[in-house]
Amino acid sequence: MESSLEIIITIFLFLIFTAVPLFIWYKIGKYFENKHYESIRKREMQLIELAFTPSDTLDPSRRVEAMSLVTGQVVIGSDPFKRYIANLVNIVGGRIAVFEAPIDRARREAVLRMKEQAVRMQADEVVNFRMETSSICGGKSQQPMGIVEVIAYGTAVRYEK
Amino acid sequence: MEERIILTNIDRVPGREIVEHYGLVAGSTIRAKHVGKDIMAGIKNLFGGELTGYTELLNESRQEATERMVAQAKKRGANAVINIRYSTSSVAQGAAEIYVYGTAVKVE
Repeated sequence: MESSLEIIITIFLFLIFTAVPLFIWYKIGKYFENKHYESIRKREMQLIELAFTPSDTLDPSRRVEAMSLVTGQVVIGSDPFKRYIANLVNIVGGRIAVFEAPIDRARREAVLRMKEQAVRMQADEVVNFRMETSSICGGKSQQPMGIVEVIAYGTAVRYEK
Repeated sequence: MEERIILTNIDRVPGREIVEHYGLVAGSTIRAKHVGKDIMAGIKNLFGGELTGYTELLNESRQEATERMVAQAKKRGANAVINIRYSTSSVAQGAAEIYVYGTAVKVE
């Protein structure tokens, strides 16, 4: 009798302190992620005309009118649900799928910001595109993913018409 | 006469010829936000997503580092900086270092 009561209490405590909060964090994280992805997709469609390339070759048949360095950067974090799942996956090893979405969001957002800056100077293309990712969670190395910074930069070029 | 310096991350200035080479110029900065912003970022990190406070901080630091690099290039008499690269590293909790470097040159 006593042991079954203990089991019930354990399950109850697990639900109250782990499962329910995790579910809430999952829902909250999902909501903000979907909202962000919606805006990313919309802006990506708007800026699809502007080409960016990691090579540094320019169109040799056209004269360059103006050029400038353009940058875009984003700092992104993860929610507790993702960190919890990642900690579990870390025990058995394997692909940590939960962290792919935040990194993907940060990369695409950084590219969009760079492109927006290029559009402001009416550039025709962005050449020598580079992207760098670094973790800036300093001192909290026990966390699987703390805070990550993505910086995208390149040279925006405007040709003579 | 205040001439605007050309910044680019390709290894030449298209349509113009490099006449002089002044070597490597670099700028770096380490910045931290005040505690309020750190706390705000901590709260924001509970929901996932972008940490606007830190993005702003790194933006400011990047601008400052670039300005320092440009000042160094100007002092040497250059009018363009080519082959610019950025790198970021974390040196302490809530503080980040941004390092930017490039080659100072004079173009026609």
